[in-house]
Amino acid sequence: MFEQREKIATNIRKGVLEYCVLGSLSSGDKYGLELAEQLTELNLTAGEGSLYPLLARMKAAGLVETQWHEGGTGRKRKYYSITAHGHQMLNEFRAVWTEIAGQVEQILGGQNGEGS
Amino acid sequence: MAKVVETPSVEEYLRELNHLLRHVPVQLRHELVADIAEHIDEGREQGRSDREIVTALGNAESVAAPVLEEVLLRGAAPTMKRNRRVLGIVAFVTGLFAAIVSRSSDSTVINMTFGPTEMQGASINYGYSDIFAASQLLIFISLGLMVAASSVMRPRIARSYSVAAAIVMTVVVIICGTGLGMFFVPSMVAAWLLAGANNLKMGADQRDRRSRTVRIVGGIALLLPSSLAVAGILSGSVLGVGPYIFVALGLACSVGYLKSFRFAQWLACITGGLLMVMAIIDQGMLMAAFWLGGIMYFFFGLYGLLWFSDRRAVSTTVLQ
Repeated sequence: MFEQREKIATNIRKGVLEYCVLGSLSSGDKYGLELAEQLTELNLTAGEGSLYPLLARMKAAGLVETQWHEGGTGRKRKYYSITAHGHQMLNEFRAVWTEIAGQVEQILGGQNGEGS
Repeated sequence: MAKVVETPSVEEYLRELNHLLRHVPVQLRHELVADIAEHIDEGREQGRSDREIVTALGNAESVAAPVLEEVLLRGAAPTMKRNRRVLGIVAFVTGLFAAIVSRSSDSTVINMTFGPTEMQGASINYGYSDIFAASQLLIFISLGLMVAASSVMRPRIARSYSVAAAIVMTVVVIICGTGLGMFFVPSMVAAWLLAGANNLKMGADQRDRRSRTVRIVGGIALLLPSSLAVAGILSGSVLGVGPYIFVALGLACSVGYLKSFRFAQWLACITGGLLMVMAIIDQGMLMAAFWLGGIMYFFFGLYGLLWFSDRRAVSTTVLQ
């Protein structure tokens, strides 16, 4: 039972992870580990490592950019920040997400017998 | 009870990841491994144990998987597929051509001054037994087939195979020397182009940089034969309108090639093909020069046709 639930969740997360990254970055620049910790905490990604190929792809697509900044400990860190194109995509996603969530809710609610 | 899986050490983990990404463009590979290494350093500084860090990262396969998938997708991309097919056909045709020509030119190469003139070009066998001649032809044809084969292989295997095939062809050319070896030069060039076409590791940026180099080198190289013709005209050693036409043709090819015009690439390709055919039919004094010049025109043209427009195609798909 739990396994099936996990499978469903994994499939959905796969599609939204990219936008969760954009969403997280829209509230401020973050370095890799910071971002990884946040997403793992929210259970949005299973392995922290798989975040980096995604970030590389998003960078190539112009959704995020990177800068090297000095962190608190004195070492240089690679910070990720969202680009204008990234903001635009995030807004598109927000609209789509609200729409789909509403539609799914509508149909599932109806099947529970609550709708009719 | 959870199964106890031994967690690899940080060094093992990074080494494994690096190994898994060996088919990935070098820059991307380095960047990813550096990112993960930084992640590990950062985690250590925050007091996480190595075991915790590696477990949280997830196994190296799952980190590499999406990248490998993307690279393989690019290998199956239409342009790449088309380039490999075209080069495969070119490799086969040039191989066939070389096999036939090298057989039929046997006496002109070996007995250029000694052989009976009425025999030259009269028979493809020159008194050898049919079996001997046929098997020799088959061996020569198999070289072309060997080169062409990589165009229908799966991308990952094709890369190593085509590099090996290109090395074999180069050795054949060197061993056969300036006589027979020359006829295998087109096969050799086609083999190296195929090795390049099968290279999944080369990112778009690197491809672009290479195309720019080829464009400049090609533009200058295509002008060289024309400058020889100009020298010929000035010194009066060549006569007629032929040289003038050739100078104009070479100039058009060269300038158009530098400007990355499509027509110039076609023109170079066709001119090259014609020069090669002319060299074989004429078998005159300048046969080698015409032959090698033709090869140069043909392959620079082909390279332009296959790769120069890539950039525009890629950028439009990104924009869509």
